[in-house]
Amino acid sequence: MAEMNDPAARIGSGDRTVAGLREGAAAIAEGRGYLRENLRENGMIFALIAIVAFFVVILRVVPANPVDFLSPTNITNLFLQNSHVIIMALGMLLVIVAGHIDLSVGSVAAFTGACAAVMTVKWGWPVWAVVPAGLAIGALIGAAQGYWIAYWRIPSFIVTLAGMLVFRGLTLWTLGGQNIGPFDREFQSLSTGYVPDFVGLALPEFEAFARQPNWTALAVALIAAGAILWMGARARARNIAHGIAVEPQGFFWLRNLVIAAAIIFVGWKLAGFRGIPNVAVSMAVLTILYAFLTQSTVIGRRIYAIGGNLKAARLSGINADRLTFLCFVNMGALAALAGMVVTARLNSATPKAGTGFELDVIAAVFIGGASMSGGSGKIVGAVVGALIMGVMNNGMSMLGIGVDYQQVIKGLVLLAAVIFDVYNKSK
Amino acid sequence: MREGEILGIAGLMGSGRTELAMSIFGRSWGRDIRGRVRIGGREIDVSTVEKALASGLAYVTEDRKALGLVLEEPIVTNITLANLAGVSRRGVLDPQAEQGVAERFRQALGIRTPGVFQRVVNLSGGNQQKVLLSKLLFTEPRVLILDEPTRGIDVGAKFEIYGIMNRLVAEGRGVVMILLGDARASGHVRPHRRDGRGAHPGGARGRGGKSGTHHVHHPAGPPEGGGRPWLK
Repeated sequence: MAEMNDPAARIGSGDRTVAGLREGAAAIAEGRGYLRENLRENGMIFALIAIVAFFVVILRVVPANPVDFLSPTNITNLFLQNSHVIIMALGMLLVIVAGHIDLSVGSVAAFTGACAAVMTVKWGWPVWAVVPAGLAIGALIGAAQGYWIAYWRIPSFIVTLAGMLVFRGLTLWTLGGQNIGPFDREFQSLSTGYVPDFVGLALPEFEAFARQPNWTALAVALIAAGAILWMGARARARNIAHGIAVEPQGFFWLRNLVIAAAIIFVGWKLAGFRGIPNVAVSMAVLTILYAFLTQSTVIGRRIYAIGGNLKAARLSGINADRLTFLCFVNMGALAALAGMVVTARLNSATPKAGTGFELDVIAAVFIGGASMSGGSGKIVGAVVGALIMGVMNNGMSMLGIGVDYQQVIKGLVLLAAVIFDVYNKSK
Repeated sequence: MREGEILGIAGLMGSGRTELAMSIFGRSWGRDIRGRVRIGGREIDVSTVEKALASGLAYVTEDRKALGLVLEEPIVTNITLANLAGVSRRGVLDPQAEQGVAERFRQALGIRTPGVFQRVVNLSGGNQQKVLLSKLLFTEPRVLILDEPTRGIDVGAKFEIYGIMNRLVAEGRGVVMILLGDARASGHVRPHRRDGRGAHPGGARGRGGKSGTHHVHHPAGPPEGGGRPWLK
């Protein structure tokens, strides 16, 4: 009460109001800046949805016998066919953020796939021994390349170009120019296995259908969607409380509700087929893990710093050489995982496996908003970029577009995405 | 060099001032560097930037854009970059602690910005310099080497930077300042190069036995130095 009577306090509070208004104006300006700076990432999510919608419509209209692009089978296929690109895009994002490139991932994936085939088929190793051994081989290859890049400062383009040739050659050598396969069920389940239905409800409403829906898939999707909304809202509230620029409320809810709806939709569709594929689980876990690593840990912050300004990072006490080295070790291990997943899906290791993977992966990362010069790019962006490439591959194949046109279109999409990015930054 | 003093090292462009400082700071310049660095009478390990920072030596570069700041990142990220251990627990960053640190330096050094999440590239030269200074002050240095801290910034900011230096000295930190031109213009103490081996600060004032006394020894000068008195 005393405060209210004190003229000084009243004037003070008036000042606060003015300051508050000014802060409000600044907040709006920052909000606009936020939108512009994140246009790329959000734009890509909506672009993905738009591309999916495009294929849904066109596949109903154009072909002689219309197909459902979003049938449970096709959604499952989308996951199976693109998991390797997403897995490698996670590692590639780190490499590109650190200011490097890795052209060898396709060959490394093929080589580790070949090694896994030899271990499984010829030596009869069980899958629990093959997978760690394969990851170790990949990490070792990454270390061998990272050593020259990080400690000898040989340009990564050159080292990994050499690696691309070397490991393609070693793949041929390992396989003796032949395919190795088929595999036992355990190894195949790396890719084509499904998470069993733990819930196992048998509702009478679904008795008319061929099978009961996979309740686990649906439950997981609902929980994931809820978690995204809840964590998004919490982070937003915390940012507001600390005066950090946030996106406008309407936009926030629009974006997150669309994402949550998409996840529930995919979960519903998967539930109607065979449930969640194993690769989708490993993909989701890895995506969350790497998103956390890049955004919330000291290591992630340092990788962005060495990509953003290498010399400044060194003068800030960051061991840039070791981090670069580790980025390549990580890339090697993820390429190995991708290689084994692909080998399991094709049920055979072939000398030609993994050809062109590196280009798909690099394109996915750049479509996802990473910068060629390093220091920027997000995990979510890279995953969305990989999904865009995957959806386009799948959709164009279903439309019956030839590989020739597919390559042209994919190339133009990559170019357009990067031009959009550069134009957006120069504005 | 003593506690509470500003030591000036002056020389023309290319005379080896920056090379000297960067050789001391984590051997960031050249190779085959020998010599010892002592703070408070105790020899410290400056073989890497990380170790130099950990033992209380910090270096603020003259080239803030190329060597100092990650321009595309926000102020808060730049300020905490050299001491991420101070804002993280078990390797996981604490965004609130980070913001707190940035706000603290923003107020203490008078960084003029709409918010600590502004990108550094949008700031004026003087404010960029303060962000860079904040980054190294957050490592809690006992001796701070400032390489031309007022280059390319306006007069007001220059004055503020000098004020900050005086505050640091008053807190008992050692400040070594590298300047362009004539040493007589600035330094309180003029180090002399002795018998071609090292620049020894202190000179006639004695090396003082007090525990807070800083000795900065450095060997073999710049490559082109020869016997030339490159430090006045």
